[in-house]
Amino acid sequence: MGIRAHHSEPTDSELLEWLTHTVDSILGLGPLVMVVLIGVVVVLIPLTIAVLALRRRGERQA
Amino acid sequence: MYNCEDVTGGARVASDGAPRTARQGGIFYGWYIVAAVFFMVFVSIGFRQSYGLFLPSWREEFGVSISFLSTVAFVGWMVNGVAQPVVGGLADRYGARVVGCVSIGVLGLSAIAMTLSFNIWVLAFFYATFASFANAGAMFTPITPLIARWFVRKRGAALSIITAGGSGGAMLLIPFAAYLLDLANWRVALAVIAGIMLVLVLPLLLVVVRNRPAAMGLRPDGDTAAMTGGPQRPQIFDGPLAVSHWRQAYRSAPMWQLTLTYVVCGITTAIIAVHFVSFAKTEGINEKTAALAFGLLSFANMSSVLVMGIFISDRVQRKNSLTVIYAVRGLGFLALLVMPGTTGLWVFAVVAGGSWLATVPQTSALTAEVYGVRNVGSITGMLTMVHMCAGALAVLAAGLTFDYFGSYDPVWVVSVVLLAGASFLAWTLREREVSARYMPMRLAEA
Repeated sequence: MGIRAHHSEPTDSELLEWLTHTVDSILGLGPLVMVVLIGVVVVLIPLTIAVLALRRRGERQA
Repeated sequence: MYNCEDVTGGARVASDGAPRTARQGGIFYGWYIVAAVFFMVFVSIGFRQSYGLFLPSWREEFGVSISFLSTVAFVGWMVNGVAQPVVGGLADRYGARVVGCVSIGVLGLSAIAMTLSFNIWVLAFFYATFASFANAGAMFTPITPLIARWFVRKRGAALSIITAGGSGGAMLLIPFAAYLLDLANWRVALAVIAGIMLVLVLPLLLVVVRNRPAAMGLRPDGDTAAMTGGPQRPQIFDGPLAVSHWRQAYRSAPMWQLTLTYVVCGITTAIIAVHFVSFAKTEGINEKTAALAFGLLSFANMSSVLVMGIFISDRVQRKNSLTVIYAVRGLGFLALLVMPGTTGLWVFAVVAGGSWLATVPQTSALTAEVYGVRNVGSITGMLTMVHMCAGALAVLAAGLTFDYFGSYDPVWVVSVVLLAGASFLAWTLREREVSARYMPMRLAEA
């Protein structure tokens, strides 16, 4: 079964490349800085949730 | 005597049947579960949608065609669809915590297996089978029974926040993967996503998620006493049309109303997700404008899911929300027909984008309220499966229609008609007679 290229691509790589370059030109940050920034956010989200949830559980037990 | 599942941990209402809604101090623990599951959906959808990002790298490294990779994605989509009722049933039986943890574990290991693949067939196998199947268990279907047990009055809000996590994942994790691709290569980018699943998501689920509030001595919504019936009364958590097996749900009208409207939802969202940029090109709009319009659609989608979920969905009949959502989406498609060029594209992005994922929490919550929590995973899984299968077939049909007519106009006309039908069908649902949300009033009258 032949499926046209655009039929199953959830993300258009060309568009995303353009978007990332546009963001880079606006913020003036390189890929490494962006990876670190987004990476820190991605790590902080679960850590914050876990810490707050454990604190809440501790409060309940106390 | 009714023998209904007690999701409240054995709590009973006062003998006079009056509801007790006093709240405990601090943030209700259920919201931490919402946050943890939000992050799981955030990562799993980010992984799924990053597939397109890696296509050029795979083409270059393995020398395969886009058609081959598209076929792999199509097979993965179908496997993911078929897996929905399976993971839903497992969540009903073993709980969403186990299903979520196993799924995210398998998904992470599959992603690692993909990074170690030096043969495209091995990579395709892991993506289309293990990863696609496990992805179903780390998304919305097993979450419905979990949230339905932790929330009653704020069920729509909780499900909406989690649904917004999908949009958040696409907005943050895909650019993250793109920058990693820029810095290193697809193997590193995929390995980092796999690491996030195994090192961050899995421990988070294990630490935070509990299947039932009773396991922590709590009650749904954080009440100190639940609004449940006494031992001789049916509890509001078991829907008025509660079934002992999911197949029995198809004997009732609401199941068909929800299924048919969800089919239309699947058709109209899948067509746009795939054909939006292609349509823009036929209108003479450049890719960058189309990308911005699609970005606006995603933002409108996330905003509307949150606004509707937090401020509206739990205050009105869900069928009315669905009626409006489908009608608004229909107006968006109408704009593509009557407003030429860029204007139609921007109007569509705002109007239709505002109705994009809003159907998911409404449909899931309504399903739990009609059929109860005991089999809601299986039933939601069936709804999601037909949603996805209809979407996959519609994408193919839209492509063939465009090839035949040289225009997307016939596709938009059919979409407007289908959405008008879905809006009407949702409106005809007799929610007050079949939803547990309105049971206390009925019990009081009895």
